[in-house]
Amino acid sequence: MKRIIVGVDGSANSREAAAVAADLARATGATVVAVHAVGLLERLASNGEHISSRKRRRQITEEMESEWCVPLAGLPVDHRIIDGSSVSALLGAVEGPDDLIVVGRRGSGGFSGSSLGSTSAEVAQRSPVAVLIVPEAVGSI
Amino acid sequence: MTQAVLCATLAGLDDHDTGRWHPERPARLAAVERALADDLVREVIAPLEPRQATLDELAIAHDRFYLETVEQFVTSGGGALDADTMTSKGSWETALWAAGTGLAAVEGLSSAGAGAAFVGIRPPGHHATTNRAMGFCLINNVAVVAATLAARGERVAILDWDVHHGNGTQEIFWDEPRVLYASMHEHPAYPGTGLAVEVGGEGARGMNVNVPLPEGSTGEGALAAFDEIIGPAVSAFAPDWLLVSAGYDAHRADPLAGLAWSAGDYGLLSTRSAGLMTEAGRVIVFLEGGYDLDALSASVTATVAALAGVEGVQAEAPTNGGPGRAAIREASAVRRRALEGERS
Repeated sequence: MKRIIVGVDGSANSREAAAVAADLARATGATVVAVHAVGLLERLASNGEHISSRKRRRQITEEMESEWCVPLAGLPVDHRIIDGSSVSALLGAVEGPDDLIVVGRRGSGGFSGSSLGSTSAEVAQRSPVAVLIVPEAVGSI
Repeated sequence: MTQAVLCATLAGLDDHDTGRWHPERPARLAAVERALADDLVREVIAPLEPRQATLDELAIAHDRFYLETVEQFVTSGGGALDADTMTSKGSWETALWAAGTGLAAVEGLSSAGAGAAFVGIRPPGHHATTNRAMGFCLINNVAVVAATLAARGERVAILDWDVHHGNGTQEIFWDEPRVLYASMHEHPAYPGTGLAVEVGGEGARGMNVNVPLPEGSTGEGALAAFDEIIGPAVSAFAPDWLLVSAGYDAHRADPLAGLAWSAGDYGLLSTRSAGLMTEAGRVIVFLEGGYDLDALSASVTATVAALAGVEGVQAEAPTNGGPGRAAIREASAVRRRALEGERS
């Protein structure tokens, strides 16, 4: 395993995925790529006003480093902010057959339990590399 | 001289509840109703009766399993299809009205043999791919109509001026030589696609035209993109039909994006778009995005007035200045290199 790609969105389950990715990275020496997908609603402030693309990216970068990726502290992490769906963002980060995708079973969007599946189910279905799905409240391994 | 514009909205049929906070909300159609009641356009509007699409009609652009799965999910109560795309129990019926009303516009214009059409529908459609709902979209309304026309042997151009790239429409027609897809949109922005180098698949090289515009770009940039890249591409294709994915979220007041157009710019774009067609009765404008209600209303009035050929004072003047010229030059060069690379 050379690279671990982990999806982060600020949800509790994505932090758990980041914790699992951190443990794996420390055990294997793999590098970590933390990916956040920017959806349509992310440039809408809570007061209904528009947030510029540059400002929103700055906010996300700060949130990734100070909150969402805290379990990855001390590891070299490549933070990536990608416009589009979570599935496209995660699959687009894959560079080779030795990559591993780590994703929470339930992020801030999606609908687990339906036959179309959540982000994690769709990533598992379409990924060319191994995928590790982290259930809620698993802690570290 | 003016011409009639067939207009439909789903007011009274709209049961697509996205939640109180969501910007893609039923009030958007009320804003469209206000636009169509404006004194500037009221007398040129001819009513178009909405209708629902059948599953078979939708399956010309979508995977049937996808349609059946979304229908089951939504009619069972709905919920979030992704982080952006909310549904309620009535969303599927509303989506059928939205897609079917585009088909009704084709039928109406074909009978009339004249005029143009505007369909004020929701949910929007251009992000929906063959097998995925995303970006507020369940069914790709414009793609259903374009695929239907193409299946009859017609040549169809889709012009997309929503502020977000229509990744779904691009995907559906990527290898389809009978459909030209041309988009101008903010970049970088959701959904991340829409680079100029994306020129079409093996069977349709050059049939996909993207002009990414930087944040802050005004209507002057949009018109330049139209005059220098999109208009010539559509004219060279010589379509039988022009379908417009008309998002109004490039307006400077829109809360979801960062372009800086005005209602007057949409009027000019509409005039130029309709001018690409030599035969009457072959232009249909589909509502996509647009989330500031006043901006949406003023921009729809400007569009319908332009389609009808009404002369009148626009509520907002066209916009000038801002970034964009360099991006348009670059898009032109990238596209040329991509196509030349194919030939060498």
